[in-house]
Amino acid sequence: MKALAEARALLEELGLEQASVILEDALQTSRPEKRDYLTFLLDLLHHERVERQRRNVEVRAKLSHLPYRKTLEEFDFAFQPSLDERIVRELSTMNFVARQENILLLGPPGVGCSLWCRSDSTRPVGVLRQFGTDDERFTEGV
Amino acid sequence: MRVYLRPKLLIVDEVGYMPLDPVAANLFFHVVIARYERGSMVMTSNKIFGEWGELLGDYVLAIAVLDRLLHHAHILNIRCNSYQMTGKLPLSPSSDIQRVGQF
Repeated sequence: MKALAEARALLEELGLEQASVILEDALQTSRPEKRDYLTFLLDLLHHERVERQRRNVEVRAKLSHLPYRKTLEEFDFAFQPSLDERIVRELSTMNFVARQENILLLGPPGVGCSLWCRSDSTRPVGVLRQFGTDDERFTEGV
Repeated sequence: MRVYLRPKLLIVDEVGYMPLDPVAANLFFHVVIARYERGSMVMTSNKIFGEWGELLGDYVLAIAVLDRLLHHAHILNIRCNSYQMTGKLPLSPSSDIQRVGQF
């Protein structure tokens, strides 16, 4: 048990907090399954990464100051037949950002333009997000 | 200005609800020009492209902005059943969704 405590302390010290938390469970499940060392290590590291990404998204969502969080999964495509779900899903892969392409969402008030836009922005992309009123956008920091 | 150039993706929501004064229109133009082929933008607007001249208060400026914006752009048109897009510019023919300028 002393070795376990020490291992956990070391993991924490190295910034692998999630791995430290699940270490005991991971050891217990890997014993009866007779996993090899590499599989065990990979499992542990995967857990750490998943948790880290989740937290990252959480922090970014907070920093973005978006007034609400919506996901594309909540969007009712049946309600808006003029929007091609296939294209929207393709765009949500964010590949367009790498190609420096733009997206223009046009529509009268209340059809979900902004909803889509904001749901889009809550996806885990590694970009800085600014959110504010029009006035802030045009006066701040220009 | 760097604030608007640095991000890989800049989202500008609700373009068109408030008309821009000349200074704002000018700054908007500079952001679009500076990001052209350098960084993506996502914009939502209730205005069809033909009305952007009015929105920016300057038709030449609007054409320059739209020219850059639409060069490499995906346009998603969301329409209610009751809503008819009329008087659209040839920039965006009346198909529901169209890809423009995938050069």
